[in-house]
Amino acid sequence: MSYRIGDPPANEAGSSPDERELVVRSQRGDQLAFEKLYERYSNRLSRYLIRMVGDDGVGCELTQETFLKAWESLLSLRDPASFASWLYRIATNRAYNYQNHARLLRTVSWEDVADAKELSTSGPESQIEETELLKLVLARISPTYRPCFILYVIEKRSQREIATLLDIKLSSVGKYVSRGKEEFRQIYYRMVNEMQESEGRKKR
Amino acid sequence: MKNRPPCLEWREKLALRHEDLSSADQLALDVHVQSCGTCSAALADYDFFEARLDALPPPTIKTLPRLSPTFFEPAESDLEQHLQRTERKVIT
Repeated sequence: MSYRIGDPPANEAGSSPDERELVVRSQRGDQLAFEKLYERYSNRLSRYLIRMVGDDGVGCELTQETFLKAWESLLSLRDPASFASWLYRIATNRAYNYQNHARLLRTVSWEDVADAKELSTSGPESQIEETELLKLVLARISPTYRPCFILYVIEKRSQREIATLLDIKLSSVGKYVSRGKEEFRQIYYRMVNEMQESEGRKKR
Repeated sequence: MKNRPPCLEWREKLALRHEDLSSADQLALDVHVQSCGTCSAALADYDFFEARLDALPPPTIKTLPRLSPTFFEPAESDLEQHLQRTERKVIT
């Protein structure tokens, strides 16, 4: 099993006594204890949110919002041992809310994006396009499957950890990952086709 | 169509890491993939996409290493307002 450099061992599926103590102290209003929880979770949570919404800046903002919401609602957390999964649920809801709101504000097709960026097929630009394309595809996977997909495929978490973090059945993780992978694949090919058609029209 | 979905009964096993499967499932999957072009193509795509996602550049923006000094302020000001109200009640 592999973890990203800089993360503490991901024992977050079952929290340590030290962490439960920090949560209880935070619930009593101890800001230093909450700072410690922030230091422990902010990096991995922002990585998760950035991949959820496909935008670095928005992901970071949502991370701050998640911690603010967590601080304000800490007393509603009955079991301090489930802090991590509670935090991920807040984060996931924030990401969904953001995307629903963004969808209401504007609907942009890949064709528009491709036109605006004047796609080329070689050089560093194509690398940027590929990165942007992957982010876009990722952000378009169904909300039900996306969290599992990101945690399993990108964050390399185990199925058990994901089940605990997202508070879902262990048997659902495999299903959601497989559906997420297939959706990613279909969306990727559809977008690439749209890009190529758009390119073809521009050349004509 | 080149990107047909994989066979339904193998879909989940195909998407999981090899080490997440039992030895029997690993073996059965390997045998199936060798004989099924659709599942073989899906698996190749899954591996390709995972490698591309692993190679995504790290985020250009990072969260603050510590909470901003103003983070706790709204809660504090609420508390202060509450205390002020309580004090006023006591005074009057």
